[in-house]
Amino acid sequence: MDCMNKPLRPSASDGEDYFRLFGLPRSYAIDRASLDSAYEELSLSCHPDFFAAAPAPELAAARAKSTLVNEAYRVLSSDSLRAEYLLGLLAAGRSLDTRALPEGFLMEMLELQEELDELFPPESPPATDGPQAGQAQRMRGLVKERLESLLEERRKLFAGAGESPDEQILRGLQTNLNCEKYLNRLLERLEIIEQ
Amino acid sequence: MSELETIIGIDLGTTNSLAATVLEHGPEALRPPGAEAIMPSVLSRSGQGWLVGAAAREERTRSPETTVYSVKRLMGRDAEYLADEIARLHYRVEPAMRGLVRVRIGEETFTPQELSAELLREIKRRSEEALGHPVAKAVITVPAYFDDSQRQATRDAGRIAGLDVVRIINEPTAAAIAYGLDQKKSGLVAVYDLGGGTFDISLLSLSGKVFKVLSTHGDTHLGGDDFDRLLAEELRQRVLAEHPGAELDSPLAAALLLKTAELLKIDLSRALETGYELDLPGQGLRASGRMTREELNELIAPLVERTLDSARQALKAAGKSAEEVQDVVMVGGSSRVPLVREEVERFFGRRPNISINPDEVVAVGAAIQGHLLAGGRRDFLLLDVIPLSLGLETLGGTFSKLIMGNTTLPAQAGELFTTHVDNQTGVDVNIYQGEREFVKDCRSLGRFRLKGLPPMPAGLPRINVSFEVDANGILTVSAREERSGTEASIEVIPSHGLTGEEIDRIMEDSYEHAMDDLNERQMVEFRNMADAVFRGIEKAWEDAERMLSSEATGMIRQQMDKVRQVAQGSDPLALKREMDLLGRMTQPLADAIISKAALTELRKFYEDTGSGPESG
Repeated sequence: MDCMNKPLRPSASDGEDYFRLFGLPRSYAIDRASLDSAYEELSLSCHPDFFAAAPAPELAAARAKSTLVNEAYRVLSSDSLRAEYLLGLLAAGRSLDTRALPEGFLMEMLELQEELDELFPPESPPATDGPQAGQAQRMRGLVKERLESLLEERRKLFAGAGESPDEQILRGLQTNLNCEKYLNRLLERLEIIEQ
Repeated sequence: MSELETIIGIDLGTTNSLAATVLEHGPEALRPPGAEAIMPSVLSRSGQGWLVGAAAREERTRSPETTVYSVKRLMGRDAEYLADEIARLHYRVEPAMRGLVRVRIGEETFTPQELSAELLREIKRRSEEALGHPVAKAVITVPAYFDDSQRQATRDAGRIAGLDVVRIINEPTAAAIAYGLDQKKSGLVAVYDLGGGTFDISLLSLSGKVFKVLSTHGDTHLGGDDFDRLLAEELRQRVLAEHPGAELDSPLAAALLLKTAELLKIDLSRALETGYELDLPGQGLRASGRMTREELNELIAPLVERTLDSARQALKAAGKSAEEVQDVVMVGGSSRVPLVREEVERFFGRRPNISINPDEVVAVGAAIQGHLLAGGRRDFLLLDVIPLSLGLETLGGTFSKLIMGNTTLPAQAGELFTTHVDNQTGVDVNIYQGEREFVKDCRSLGRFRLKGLPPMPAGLPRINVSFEVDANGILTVSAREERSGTEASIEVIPSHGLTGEEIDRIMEDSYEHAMDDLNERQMVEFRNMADAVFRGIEKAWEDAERMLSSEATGMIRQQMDKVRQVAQGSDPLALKREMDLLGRMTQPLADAIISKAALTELRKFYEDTGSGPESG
C-alpha cells in the first residue's frame, strides 16, 4: 500500500478558515449556541437537497459548500479537533513536534498500560463486576482527572496566546494535545474492558 | 403544486412495501382503487411473468420453490455472508460471480436487484393507478445501517424498474421527518425501527427546521421474520414430540410452519394465550396446541436484547444517555410485539410514542423528502450521517479510516498516495467499510485502480485521491496527480453488486422482455377480437348473402381466412392491419344490419306507445 497518510482538509486551499465561515471569533473558547445556529443557517442555505432540481454546476457548488460546512462543524464542535485546528492556524506554517511530551509523562503512561495488562490480559472477558471492575473504575477516574487538568491547562494557554503567540506557547499547546491522545487511548481501552 | 414533478416515497420493506406522496392537503399513503396501500414484498414466478404482492403471498404455501420473499435480506450481500440465511429460505439461492447471489427458479436465475426491481415496478404501477398519471422519480428508503453495497443494490433495483431514484433515505430518518413535522417536536428523539427483516436505531436532534441525525446503529439481519422463524422451530419441535414420524423439513411443511408461526405471533400480540392448528394433508397429519405470550417472550427475548445493545451503541456514539432522550418513536410492524414495547419503555424510562401508523410513517417521510427535492418546500432540512466508517487497507491489513461513522453527509476526505517503484503508472487501492481494526473484519466495497500516471521516480508522484459520500450515503472516488496535474483515471471494481454494464444489460433484457410481453398480450387481445368479429359475421351471414353482392361476400370470406392465418403468427401489428381491412369490407353489411336492427327497434317502440312516425 502506497499511502502517505496525510489527510487533506477541504478548506486547505480556499483560504477561508472555519471560524470565519461560521462568523465566530478565532478562539478556543466557543459559544455552542452560536455555533449550532450558524451551522443550521448555513446548512439551510447550501444543502444540496435544496438544489436537486438546479443545473449541475449549482448542485455541485452546493455539495462542495455543504461538505465544507459539515467538516467545519465537526472540527469546531469537538474540543480536541478545534484545539488542533486553531493551533495550526496560530502556528502559521511553523512546524511543531507532534511527538513531544513532558518529562516523565511517557513513563507514567507505560506504567498505567502495564498495570492494565496485568489486571486484564488481552483475551480476558469483560469486567462488569467484582474486584477487577473496581480497579478499572479507579483507573478510569485517574485518567479522567488527568484529562480534566489537561483541558484546564489548554484553556489557559489559548487564553494567553493572543493573535500571534510565541514559540513557547505553541510548543506548550502541541505537547498538551499530544498528551491528550495518550490519555484518550487509555480511556478507550478502559471502556472496552468495562463493557 | 400541480407544476411540481411528483417524486413518490417508497418504503421497500423486507415483508411489506408501500408508496406515499404529498398531495394538496398533505402527505398520504397511495392506495390503488380497491386495494390496500400495503403490498406484501413477495413475488411468485408464473410462466414467463411474475405474480407480485398479496396474490404472490398466497403462493408461499402452495408453491414454495417458485415464490420469493425477504429479497431485501439478499441485497448487496455475498453467499458466504448469507450462508445461514440461505439455508432457511424456502427458495434456492446460489452463489454467483463477484460475490453476487442469484435466486434459482426452475431453469432461470435472478439477481436480488432484478427481483427487487419487480417489486418496485409493481409499486410504481400501483402508484400510477392511484394517482392517475405516470411516475418517473422516487425516494426509496433503506435501513440506516445499510452499507454502501446494499445502498447501491437498492439504487440499481430502482434503475432496473425504470425509476429515477433521486434519493436513498434512511428509514428511521424518514420516520422522524414524518413524526417531527407532524407533531412539531424539538429536542432529542430516538427512532426505534424494527421491521420484518432489519433493525435500526437512530438518535436525532430536532430543532424546528433542522433534523440532524446524531448517530445510528442497527442490524440489517434482525427483524420480525426472525421471531417467526424461532416460533416455527418451536412448533416443529412440538409437532415432532407428538408425531415422531412427521416429515417437517419439506419446503411445503416449512412454509406451513412459518405461516402458522406468523399468525400465532400476531394473535399473541393481542391475547395472552392462544391455540394453533397445523394441517399437513399430504401426511394425513393434524397437530394442534396452545401457546402463551410468556412462552413467545422467552423465545424472542435474546433478539430484543440485541436491539437494546444497538441502542446503547447509538447513545454512546452520540454522547448521550437514555435519560436525555425526550421522545421515543416506534416504527416498523414488529414494534407491535408487546415484549418489544415493554423492553423499549424500560430501557428509555419513558412510554414510547406509538400514535403514528408504524407501517406507513416511513413511506410518508420519504414522500415529504421527495416533495422537498422536487422544490415543493424549503422549511425543513434533513442532515443524515454515514452509518459505518469508510477507509482503506494499509500496511499489514490494517484498516485506516478516512471518514468516520456518524459523520454528517455530504462528507469528503482526501488521501495522498505515491508510487514505490520507478516509472510505476498504476496504484491499487482497496476500500473497506466497517468499524474494526483489520480489513479482514470489515466489508470490502471494491478495489480502485489509479491508472495513467506519468512515469516518474518512485515516491515522487503525489496522487490526491478524494472520497466523497453524497447525501445518499453513496461513495464516489476521484484522483489527481498533483505534480503533473493529470487526472488519474479510476476504475471501480465493486466487490459486490452489479457493474454499470450489467445494469444496462438487465435493463435492455427487461425492455426486450417488456416488448415481448406487450406483443404477446396484444396478440391475445387481437385474437379474441377476431373471434368476436367472426362470430358476428357468421351470425349475420344470412343477411350478408341477401344484402351484399356475391363478389363482396367472397372477398369477406377470403379476408377472414387471411386473418385466421396471421392470428397464428406473433406479429400483433400485422394482425391488426388484416382486421382493419376486414372491418372495412364488412362495413356496408354492418351498416345495413344496424339500420335493420334500428328499424326493428323503432317499429317496436312506436307499436308499444301506440303512435306512428310522422313521416317516412
